[in-house]
Amino acid sequence: MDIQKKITLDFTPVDPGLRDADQIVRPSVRYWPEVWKRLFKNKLADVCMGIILLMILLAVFVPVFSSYKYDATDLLHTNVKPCLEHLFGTDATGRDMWTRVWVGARASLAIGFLGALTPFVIGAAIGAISGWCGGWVDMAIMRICDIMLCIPSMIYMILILMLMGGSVQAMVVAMAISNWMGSARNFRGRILQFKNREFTLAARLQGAGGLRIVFRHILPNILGNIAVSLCGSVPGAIFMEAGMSYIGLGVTPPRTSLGQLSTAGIGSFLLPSQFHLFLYPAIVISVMIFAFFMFGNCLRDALDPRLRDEEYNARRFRKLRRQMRKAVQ
Amino acid sequence: MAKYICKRLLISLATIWLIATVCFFLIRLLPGNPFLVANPLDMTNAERLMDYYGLNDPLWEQYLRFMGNLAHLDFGYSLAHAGRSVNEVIALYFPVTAQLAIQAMIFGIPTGILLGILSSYHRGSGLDVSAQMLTILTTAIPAYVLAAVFQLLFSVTLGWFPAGGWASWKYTVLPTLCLSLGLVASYCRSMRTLMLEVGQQDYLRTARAKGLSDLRIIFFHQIRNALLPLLTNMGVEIAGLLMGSYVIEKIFSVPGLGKYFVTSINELDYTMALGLVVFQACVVVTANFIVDLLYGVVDPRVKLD
Repeated sequence: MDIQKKITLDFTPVDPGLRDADQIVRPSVRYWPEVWKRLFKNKLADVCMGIILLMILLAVFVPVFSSYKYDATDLLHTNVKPCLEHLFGTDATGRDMWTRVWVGARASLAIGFLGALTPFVIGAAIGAISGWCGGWVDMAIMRICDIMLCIPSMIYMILILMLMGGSVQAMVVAMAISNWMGSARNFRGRILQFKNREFTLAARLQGAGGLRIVFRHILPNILGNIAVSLCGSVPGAIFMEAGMSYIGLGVTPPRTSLGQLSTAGIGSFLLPSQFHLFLYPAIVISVMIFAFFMFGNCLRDALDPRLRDEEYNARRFRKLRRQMRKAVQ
Repeated sequence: MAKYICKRLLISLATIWLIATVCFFLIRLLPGNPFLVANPLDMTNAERLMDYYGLNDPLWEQYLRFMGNLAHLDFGYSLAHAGRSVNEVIALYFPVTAQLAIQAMIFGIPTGILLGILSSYHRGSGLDVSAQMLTILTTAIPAYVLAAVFQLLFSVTLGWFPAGGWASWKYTVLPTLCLSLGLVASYCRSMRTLMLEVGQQDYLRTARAKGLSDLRIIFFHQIRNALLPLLTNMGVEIAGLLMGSYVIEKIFSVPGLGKYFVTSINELDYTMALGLVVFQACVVVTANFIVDLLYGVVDPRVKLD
């Protein structure tokens, strides 16, 4: 028997029509447009984005167009309940709460964004240096990180706020100094993960420098991770400011922030005539934190749909389980 | 093992020394004279007091003296309140803060872990959804707002627990609850994720294939492995509890260390502020030290060297 015949007996040739079957499964979609599409499809993400945008717009424009100044007192109209004239009422010295809340939201949003971004950028730079250089540089930077992580962050915050006085800038500096360690560790880990991959090696063989490799080749790979952790630290920063305000060290009067307003409201929230002073700032700050938090979650789901199906989408999971039960029966 | 303990101990001591040094110089950067903040003294008397407490000596001399005292755990005397030593304040008020933190941990961590296990097991059920809602709510609402709501609900409207003060166990219920809700939420969330993560591992499939019951698998195979990463967070959690209790202590007017710390910095009470910082750093470093040791004991895969 000749060999050609034996082969045709053992292996049947593939039908030429099937050969192309797995070539075009679906149109190729680039990563980021796909992420955006998934994100916009998610109703919760849309709602959260809407809330955040609305809050930013209100914070920017309400104080500009309001007929009251946020620090102008009016002793003839103190403790006014919410009405059309004063949407959130007025406080004990007759300042319009609607204006004050949105001026406070400006400070809180600024602290939220800058307080999340600044430590992140600093940490990323330090982490990248540490991961990329390796050796004793890495060793030294990581030990400094460990030690700084051991010091309760409140201590730096308090010292820096005492030193610089309570303002948005001081809060941001305080957060930058007390929060960069986590992001540095995270970034270092990511760099190490990609440092020895083939595409990095290829880039290096072509003569790319360290900076170029980190920014052009490694950064795009970890952008999703970065976006999620940034989004997650915005509410943390707003929270921190609120906490510091409560102790009396946040943004100081006459400037104001949501944390300061809700804190001031707590002092008298048991009096029915002043309950609105506590209620509205507390609601606004809670909704703000909630929106950022949920948006971060949605972003994570959009970046990694596998994760969502595994963990987060309860409804889908129930449906699957029901189908499986039916199939078993 | 002994070598590992020694090494960790040395690192811990070095950390405390570093924290003390950094804070010593940081506090001195604050502008103002400690004796002029609270009392209307004239300059000569303030200077005399500065001399008396040795604050006019060269900084390095003060630093050496401070370190020498620290070596035998003497934090010195308060500048703002004459005759009150820092050790005394710690001995009087730290137990209150510690009690609050420990109660919060005893209630919060097991509850969170249990809730996480249940919601991962009954994934997608009403319990799971409500547990997730709880996590989101406690993350979104600032602790003091929650505390105010609790006061309004449980002490003003229902009258079950007193709104503030510190006398019997009844006074501890609301602060503990407020302090522990964050713990419950974070432990529930991470436990749920970890359980689901571990649930996909091969050895669990093997266990299931052997025909073990669900309960046995969860308790003897899944939980053990899911708990490990939670342990690393303990040190950080303890630091967070100490800090979180400042706010809670203030709103429930609990006589803890938190109040002293904030006022001491406001009053530029150098020795008091420094003493309290170093003391708290010691607590956190000790907690981290213990967690590190435990980690090696619980997970034999972690090589101690």
